[in-house]
Order: sequence, then C-alpha cells, then structure tokens
Amino acid sequence: MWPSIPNEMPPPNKPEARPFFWISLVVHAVVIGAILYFSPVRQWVFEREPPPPEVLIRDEKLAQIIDDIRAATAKKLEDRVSLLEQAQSRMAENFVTVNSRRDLPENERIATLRTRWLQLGEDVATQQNSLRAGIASEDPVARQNASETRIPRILAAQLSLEQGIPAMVTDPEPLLTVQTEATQFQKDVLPFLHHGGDALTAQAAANESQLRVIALVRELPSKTDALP
Amino acid sequence: MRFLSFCMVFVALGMGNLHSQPLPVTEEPQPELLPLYDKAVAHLERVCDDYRRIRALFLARSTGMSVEEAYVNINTVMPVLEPLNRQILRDAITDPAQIPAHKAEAERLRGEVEIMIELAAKLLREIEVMRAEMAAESQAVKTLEELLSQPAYNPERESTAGEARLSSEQNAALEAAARENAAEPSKDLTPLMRRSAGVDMRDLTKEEKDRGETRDLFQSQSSPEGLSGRVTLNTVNHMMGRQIDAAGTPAEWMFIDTWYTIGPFPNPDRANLNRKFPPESVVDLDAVYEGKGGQAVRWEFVQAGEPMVLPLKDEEYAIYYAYTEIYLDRPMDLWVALGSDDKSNVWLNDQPIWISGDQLKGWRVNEGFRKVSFNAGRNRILYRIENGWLITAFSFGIRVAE
Repeated sequence: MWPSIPNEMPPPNKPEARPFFWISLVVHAVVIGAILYFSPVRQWVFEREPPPPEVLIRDEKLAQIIDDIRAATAKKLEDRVSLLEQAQSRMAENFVTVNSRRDLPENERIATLRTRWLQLGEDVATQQNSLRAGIASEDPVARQNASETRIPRILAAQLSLEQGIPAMVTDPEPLLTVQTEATQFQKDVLPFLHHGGDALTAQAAANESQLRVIALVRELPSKTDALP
Repeated sequence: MRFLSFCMVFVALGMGNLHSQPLPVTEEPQPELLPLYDKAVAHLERVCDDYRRIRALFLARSTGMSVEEAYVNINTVMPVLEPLNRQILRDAITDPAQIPAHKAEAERLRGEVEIMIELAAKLLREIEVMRAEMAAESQAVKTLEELLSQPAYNPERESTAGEARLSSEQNAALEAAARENAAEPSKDLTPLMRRSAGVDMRDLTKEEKDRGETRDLFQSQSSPEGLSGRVTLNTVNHMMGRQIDAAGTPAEWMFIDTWYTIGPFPNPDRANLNRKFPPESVVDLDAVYEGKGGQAVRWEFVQAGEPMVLPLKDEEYAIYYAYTEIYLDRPMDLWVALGSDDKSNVWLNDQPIWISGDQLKGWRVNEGFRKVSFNAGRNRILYRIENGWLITAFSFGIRVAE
C-alpha cells in the first residue's frame, strides 16, 4: 500500500485570503458613494421633496375659509373706499369754493352751480333708465351687471346732488328734503335686488322721484333773481 | 423581498395623487368685494369730473370763454380701468385649487382701489397744495388721508401764504411771451416767471456775472444774439442728460434724453389743436386713457440717443405728450432751445414757456429760444406735440455753458 500523500493544492478561494478583494471592495464603496453623493442620484434618492401635504378640507370648512378671506379683504377695502367718498365730497367743495372766487355777478356764479347740478341730475336719470332696462332683462347676468355697475354711480351722483344744493339756493331745506327722499327711494331698491321682489316697481318710483327734483331745479332760474 | 417592499412604497406614493377629489359645491357667499370696487369707481368718477370742472373754471377765467365751453375743451382725467375678472370673484369656490386665482384677483382689485386713491390724492393736491411748497421742493408726497385731514382749499388763505398759482393776468402775459414770434425767436421769460412764481428765485447766474465770476458751466449768455445760428447739431458741443450740477461734464448744451410719452390722442383734421387732454390736467404715469380711435394709451418710457426725440408710437392727425423731470443743484435762469414737428406747447413747472405757431412744419433743433427760470431740485417739463402727418419729433436743449 502506498502511503497516501495529499496533493499540494492551492489554498481554498476564501476572501480573507485575497488582499485584492478588500482593496476592490473599498474602491467600489468609494466610487459608489461618490456617485451617490455628488450626482443628482443623491437628490433623487435621499433628498426627494416629500409630497405636499394632502389638503383634505370638508366643504363647510372650505366655505368658511373663503368667507373669512372675502370678509377680511372687504373690511380692509371698506375703509379705503370711504376715503374716496370723502375725496369726492372734498373735490365738490373745492368746486364751490373756486366758483365763488370768480369775479362775476352772484347770479352767474349760481348759474354755474346749477348747470353742474342739472348735468349731474340728468346723468342720474340716464343711469336710472339703464338700470331699469337691466332689471327688466330676462338675462340674469345682464341684471346683475346692471345693478352692480349702475347703482354705485347713481348713489355717488346723488350724494353730489345733495351736497350741491346748499350752495345754489338761499333756502336749501325744501329742495334738500326732496333730494334726500329721491336718494332714499334709490336705496330702497337694493333689498329687492338682493333678496328678490318687485325691483322694477321700486326702481320706477326712484326714477320718478329724481325726475321731480330735477324739474324743481329747472324752475329755479326764475327764482335766482330773488337771491339777496 | 426587499425589492418587493420597495415597489410597494413606490405604488403607495403614486396613489397619493388620488387625494384631490373635487369637493361638493358650496353655498355661494355674498360677494362684497365687487360692490365696494364699483363704489370706488363711482366716487373716483365724481372726483375726476369735479376736478375737470374746476380746471374749466380756471380755463374760463384765463381765456374768457364760458365755463361750459371750457368744460368741453378739457378731456376727462378718469383713466381707463383694467377690467376685473368678475366671474372669479363671483363664483363659488368648490376646490381648494381655485383659492390662489381668487386671492390673486382680490389682491388686484385692492391694488386698483389703491391706484384710484393715489389718483384722487394727486388731483386734490393739484388743486389744494400750495405751489410755493412745490417750488421749495418740500413735496413730501401727501397721502389722501393727510390731505383730507387738512382744512379745505381756500384761495384767499393760500394766496396770502405765498401760493404761486398764476393769476389769469400773469398766465396771459406769460402765454403771450411764450408764443412763437418769427421776428423774435429768442425771448427772456425769467422776469415774468419769477414774478408769477412768487418765491425767492434769484437770478444766480446774473449775480455771478455781475460779480465778474466766469465759469464754464451753468451760465447762459445774457444776449441771445447769434444763438440760433450757433446751435446746429453739427457744430454745437452737446451732451445728453437730465441733471445739471457742479460735478457735471462741461458742455455747451444739454439735451434732455429721458422722457415718458403718451398718445396718440385724436386730432381729426386738426380740430383738437386747443383741446386739453388728461396729461395737461394731471400727469399720472400709471394712468391709462382712451386715445385716438378708442385705443388705450399709457405712458411709455423713451430713451433718446440724440437731441431729436421720437415717441414710440407715431400716427397722423394725433396729439402726443411727453413728460420728464430734470434736476438742478440750485435755481438757475438758463436759455432753452425748443423744436418740434409739428405744433408744440411746452410747460416748465406748469408755466407756459413755448407755444409754437399753428402751421405744420418739420423739426429744427433751433426753432425757438426762451430764457427760463429753473428751480433748485426737481423741475417738471411737459411737452405737447401735434402730428399732422409724417413723423412726430421734438427736442429740449438747455444751454449750460457760455
């Protein structure tokens, strides 16, 4: 029997036994790490923005938010618009002042004030007619547009009409009363437009009332001569 | 296994898009913004109309025409407002995604109201603020709130306080002197301007001359003789700019290069030669007006590289305006050279300094010369140019050296 002599084979292929394995592992780790860190991959994989938080608002809650936004904006706006209203009064006052400084007979200065008043009154009457036509329209958008754009113009002009009266007549009270009434008639149309009802009849009454005041002012020139 | 869980995460992320289901329609809230906006517009219209009427009173006084006629001759200063998207503001919001658009439109609405307030303040200032304050450059711009908190306009009080508003006689005299006269192309307007300004405006250039001081800059020769012959673009030493101070580059003439122009305003068959369009009443660089053929016109910036300035738009039978502000480090009386194609009017700090003849003509740099008084600090120049046909052009040169 021959003695068994083991073959002189190379050692088994274990990583621990190969130094190049470790070197390769380190190099790969460095390269992959560098790619991940320096290339957009880092952003794609590690720093991706989280999706926006889901907005789950129930309808009542949403309506409440919108109402709040609208109310807050409207509140801020209200004060600014009232500033413009004051500016309107102030400019009207300036007109009366500058007119009073003209070196002309009193009746000519008064005539200028009345011309302005009557032009304004005619403008109100025209706007009121357009508003009536809008209210009578079958088209709801036309109705809405008419009331939205005409009414503020009419009311702003009526404010000027009221303010213009004291400067052009010696006893303003009677005329002021009828003009205030005409303005009130116009304001009375608003609830009908907002909440329904016979807006057309209300607007007709407002027109009629304003026309009465215009007619009264038209008659004034003959009374101007009686001014002191 | 790990790959599987990775895939599940991706699927879950993708599912996230399903969250935005449309919400049920909500009850439409009562819109309050639009009525407020319309109210603001209505008030501004009244402010603009009464401003126009006041201007008509002044015009009637200075020209002798009736107030009604003067009113017709002055255009409204009410700007054309950019229409709002009313639908967005009216519509009920059914989806949170609609909120930004609604909010943006509401903000725009607020911005428009602020512009209206600014314009109202400007118009009131124009009527109420004393010119003397303006001349002294103490124009801390007053807000509408500040203006309204002051006592109302009182011409007597303002005039005793040194108001520099031109009386009708002073204005008429200045206009007569400013008017083009072929026999007298060069005129000294400074005595009239100083008298009407009513403020301490000394003729510093003359004082320097009297003291025998001579400087290269800031002195206009006292005699206009030979001026027009010397000012030709080929020969004159000129530069472009709009600031005159001791540190400036020496030059014989400075032509203003920076302008805002607006137009065209209609002038069919030259019918509106004497009609006053909004810039003649108030210069509001943000305003938009209705111009020729109903087109919207607004101020546009023009930077000229040479003395002859051309507005960006150019239409026949139209009126254009150009506005600029120049700065001087002290009050000065200087010669200016004016030229335009076609008829033009020029105001310096609201005082007329040039009214050319009505004839149609080409542009010349040396069409007319006026010696005028500039304030220290800001000086406002308004140029009105008519175009009959072909091009529109104008120039404004200031003689800054002997």
